[in-house]
Amino acid sequence: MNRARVLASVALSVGLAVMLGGAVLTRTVPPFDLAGDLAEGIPRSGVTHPITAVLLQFRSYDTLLEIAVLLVAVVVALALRDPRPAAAAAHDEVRANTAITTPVLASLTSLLLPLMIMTAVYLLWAGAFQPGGAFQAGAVLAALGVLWRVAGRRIASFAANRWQHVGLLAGFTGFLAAATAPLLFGRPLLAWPSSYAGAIIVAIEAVLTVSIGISLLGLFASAPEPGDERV
Amino acid sequence: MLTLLFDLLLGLGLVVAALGALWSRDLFRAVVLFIVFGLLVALAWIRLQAPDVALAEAAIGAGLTGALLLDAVGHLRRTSRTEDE
Repeated sequence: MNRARVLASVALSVGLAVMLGGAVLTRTVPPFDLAGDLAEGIPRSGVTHPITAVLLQFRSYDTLLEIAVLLVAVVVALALRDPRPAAAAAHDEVRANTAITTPVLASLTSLLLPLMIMTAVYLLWAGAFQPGGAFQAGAVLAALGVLWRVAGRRIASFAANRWQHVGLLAGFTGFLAAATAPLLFGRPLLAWPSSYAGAIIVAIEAVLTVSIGISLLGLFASAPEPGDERV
Repeated sequence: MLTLLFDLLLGLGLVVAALGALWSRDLFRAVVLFIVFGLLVALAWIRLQAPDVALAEAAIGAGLTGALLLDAVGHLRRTSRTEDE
């Protein structure tokens, strides 16, 4: 590494540290009280956990767009894979053959499978009233798939599976349908009536969990394998 | 007092793990230190009373990203080995 680059990065780091320190010391009171507004709005949101209320009620438009971005990213990653069904089968074959197989790993993955599913469902359910929610639950599901795959278990090939595509799309289309449904009843976009909001949010989060899990696993499973000639 | 000590140790551990991940010559070691860094960041989020962020950080930042990076390291090793042969 050359000296100029080191000096430049040191200068940038020191500058950032000084600015951060300055920002902490001269903290100004914001002219609006977001926490107060949020606390006031919670009873209307249908859920009791403020983070979930923000993500899926007050700023749900942002979350909808995030899901769309995630979907586009996964579609691009899947598009990079070899489209031939034989290639997908060979892909899984290579994965199964190169995996380390020990009795401990095999029994541990079998033990962890139900535990991780339970954790994901719990995180999803808990999201309504304490930390948790679709992203965390989906990440646990994806981690389960990654573990299963890395341990050399054969899970249905990811490229040629229709159910995978359905699962990928379900989150975004379900959310979009729930978002536009109020328009049919003359209400604004995403404005669910308070009495149904809680149930709608939990339903959306359940579908999102599956989609997020499949998306993240899809990103992992689309990574090129040894023996892939295009790499 | 004890929590302050814990916070200081956590901050120190974060810096050490980050430097280790950046300066490690061995890619595998760098990835493992990155995962350690992710888990420590999750702890830091908990200390900052943001358990939602901590959960996401531990699952996505440390877990999935770590697995992807480990996969990439394994891939790099295998391809460099076939080139050597």
